[in-house]
Amino acid sequence: MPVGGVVSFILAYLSVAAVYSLLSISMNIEYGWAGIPNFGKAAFIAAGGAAAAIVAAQLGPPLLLGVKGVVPGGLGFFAKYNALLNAYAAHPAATWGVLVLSCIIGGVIAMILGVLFTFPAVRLREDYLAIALLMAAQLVWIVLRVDKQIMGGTFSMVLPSPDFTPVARLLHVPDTVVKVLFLWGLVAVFLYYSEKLMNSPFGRKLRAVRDDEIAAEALGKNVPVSRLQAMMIGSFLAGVAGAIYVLVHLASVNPDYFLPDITFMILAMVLVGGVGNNWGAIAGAMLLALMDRVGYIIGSRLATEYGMLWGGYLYYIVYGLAIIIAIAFRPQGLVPEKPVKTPAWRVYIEETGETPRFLKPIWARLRSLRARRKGKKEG
Amino acid sequence: MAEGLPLRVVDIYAGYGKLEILHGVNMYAEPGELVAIVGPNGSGKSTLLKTIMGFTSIYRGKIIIGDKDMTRTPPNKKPYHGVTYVPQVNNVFPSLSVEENLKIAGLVLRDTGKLKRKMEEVFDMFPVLRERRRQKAGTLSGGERQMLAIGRALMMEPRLMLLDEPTAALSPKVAEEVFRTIVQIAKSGITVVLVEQNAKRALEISDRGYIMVQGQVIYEGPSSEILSHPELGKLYLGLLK
Amino acid sequence: MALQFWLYSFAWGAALALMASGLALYYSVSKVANFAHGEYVSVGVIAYLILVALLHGFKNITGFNIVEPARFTVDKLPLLLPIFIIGGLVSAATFAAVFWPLMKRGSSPLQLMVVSIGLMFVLRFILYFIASAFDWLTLPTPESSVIATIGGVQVTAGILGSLLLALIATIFVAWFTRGTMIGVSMRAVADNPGLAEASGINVFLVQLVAWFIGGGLAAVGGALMFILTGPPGERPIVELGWMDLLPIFAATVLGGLGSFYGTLVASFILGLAFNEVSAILLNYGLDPSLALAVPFGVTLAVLLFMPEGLAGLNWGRLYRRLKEVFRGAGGWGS
Repeated sequence: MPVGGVVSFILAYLSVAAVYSLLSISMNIEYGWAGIPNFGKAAFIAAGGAAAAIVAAQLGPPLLLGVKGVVPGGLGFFAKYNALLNAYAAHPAATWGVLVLSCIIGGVIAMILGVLFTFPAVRLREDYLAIALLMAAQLVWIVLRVDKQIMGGTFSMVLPSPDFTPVARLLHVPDTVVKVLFLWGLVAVFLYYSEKLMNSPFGRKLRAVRDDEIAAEALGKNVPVSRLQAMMIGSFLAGVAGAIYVLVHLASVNPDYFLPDITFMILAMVLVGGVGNNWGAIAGAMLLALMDRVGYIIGSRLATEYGMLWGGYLYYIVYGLAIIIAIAFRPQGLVPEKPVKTPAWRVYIEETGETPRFLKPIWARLRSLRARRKGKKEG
Repeated sequence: MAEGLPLRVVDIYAGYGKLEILHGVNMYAEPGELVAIVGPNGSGKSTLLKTIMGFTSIYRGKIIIGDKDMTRTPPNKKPYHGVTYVPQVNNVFPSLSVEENLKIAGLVLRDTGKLKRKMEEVFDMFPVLRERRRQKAGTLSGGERQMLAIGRALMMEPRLMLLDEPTAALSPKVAEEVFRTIVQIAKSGITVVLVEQNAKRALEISDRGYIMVQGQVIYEGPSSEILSHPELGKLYLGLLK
Repeated sequence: MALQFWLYSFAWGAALALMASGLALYYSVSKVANFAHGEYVSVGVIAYLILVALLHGFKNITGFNIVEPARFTVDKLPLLLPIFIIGGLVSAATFAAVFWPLMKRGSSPLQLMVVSIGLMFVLRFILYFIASAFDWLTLPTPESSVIATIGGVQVTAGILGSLLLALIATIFVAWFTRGTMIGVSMRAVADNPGLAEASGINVFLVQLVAWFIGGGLAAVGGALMFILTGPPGERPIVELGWMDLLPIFAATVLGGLGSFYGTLVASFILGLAFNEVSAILLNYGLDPSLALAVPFGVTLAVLLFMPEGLAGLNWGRLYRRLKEVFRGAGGWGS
């Protein structure tokens, strides 16, 4: 492969890995902390996608460009919409407006859907919850396909991707580099927020509900409400991530991006990386995204050059085996869960005068590790 | 006359997963003996029975039943060696009829004729079960359910019977009936290990007794000795003289 | 026309009943919400096509050439037996290789459910592999021959097969769970696995048998549903099981997760409702795929108002209540 090919592969990989990391972090809140099998994640990602489509074609033009919007699905839609896209191209600021609006609207819609879909089964066992959420996601997908006024039915609709050119020119790097940096910046924001939330009493409450429903209830925690709260936060983040996914990463939208497959891919990433650990979720997303990309390249070559059509379905075995191996051999994932960093630990440190290992900064941990190894060599 | 099996529990350390509950328990039962295990709540009495049956993880020690080492024998193989176990709760299959509950023993007996004979014996012993043979076990009263549970165990031609609090949650009158049945079973030659909350009554009917506290046996001896001991009853068993 | 529609809906319900009761059967003993159940259904479809190809000595059967030979006729009914066995073997193998080791290690129901997703993906890949080897990735559904026309109502081999097999399966399961030792043991394990073990029941073997029958029923139901619901139109062969999965779950939830008879009744109710709504949607010029809202709505309603499903209903009380209402309205009786 030529150098240019390798660089573009790495950039494309980093871009998709960032998007998957965003989604994994949101999945981790539900599955990792609250123990909710959110098999309907696709629906909440789709909410972001739908919001992006609606903002780009219908809400964005009057608000950001000052022209009339067009409703997808009608006759002559594409001609009118292409004119709009040209208008967006002339106004880089408007494309950012589309992104911000889509994130907010998508997040809110996803949050509302999350509560609606979870509510019927929130008091019941996990299997009921999983079935209800999976059905919801499937129904959302069908509605998006059938109702052509949302994202134009089964045709892919091109979206006004946020314009990175001004920044790229300033830094003298290609657009894609800025895009990747932007996406990873968002991952950092998600990570910061999620870590903060996880190490609060709220995070501890969710884990209590996950580990022992009855004990949590006996301690006065409202189990259904805790689950709904986790679903609200997770779905909001998924909606935001969905808007980013279609606007920044794909720059187009199609109902088929939101098939249940994506739910289970994200779930596999959380499982492989570390259930209940945000760094683990990111690690899982990076690892599986790499395998996915490589598998895709090999598979499509098999399909196109050797006529082995099954090559196009190689990702099924990658994710399927990842899930089975993770659960069977390392249920805690690559990076296991850590205790919650709540104020109670400060009291513990004051009382005992020693810092628990997991609270020490990473360099202190490394130093102690090196010291121990040295000690072993000498001894 | 059934021939009871001797039981030897040698220095057992056992528990659930990583949680050790029994810390070095030694006990034995001679053939045909009725042995009572008493002690306060959470002392590991029920866990000891579950360990003998094979439901817990055993870290150290030996369980010898008859002349075989059965430390690693899974629970579903034990009935074929004459060991039966009646748990404290959920000791019948609620959605199966009374007759079907007893019929499960056919697996162990492997003989339809014998199954029929045994079933008649159990019905003779507990006539109320014959009346309710077509009824689902879940609809039985507490006392009837306990009888069915003991009947189920007797169906399998046991030579060692492990009973976990058979009189818990029964009215005193029904409990007395259950105690009488247990004495009868022991008299027929079957070795019986009885775990009981009602320490006084259990020691009155048994030959020997063990007192367990916090996963260890702290006293063993003839039941009459424990009953007449000046301190033991007051300290551990809530018996007031 | 109305009668024809009712007959079709009923047969559709029967095929769904076969698939869903299979899930209910092993759910009752193993308590695993198995999302790979849809793949057992696809196994049935692929097995049917392979068996047809085998009958033709694997000559001229790749791609669309399989469609004409795969026309469903009465003399192809015996093929359902090997389909049952193939589906059963796949299902039993997945249980023995994946679920049982995890259950023995004490994995939570949540983990078992998630692992079933992984299994679903792996099985789907294997099926894609087979289907692409024969070039069967998308096919038009084969026709089902008309065997009799009674009063203008056409009875096809597919309709006959579905109704017949549902009847056979019901009778078989009724006999099996009451009349045989392993069947009674199965109900015992469903009630209380620990006590069952203490009674000398080999819990693994009992579950293995339940999974065999469950997977077999899924495969047979899948093959029949494949034949029933076509033609016209090309469909993705391997995805058929996935498409059936949600109605299957709806039927099992409505039937009261794990109850065989409840699931049976629920499937027929759903069959009628689903097809009725599809027809209405089509009448109004809407997309009939929106009819998926029926199983979804039913499931949500069941979860909200009667989580135990049909099996949890107090039928005696319902009967008495209906009788009261009837008496009050009609004014007859004392």
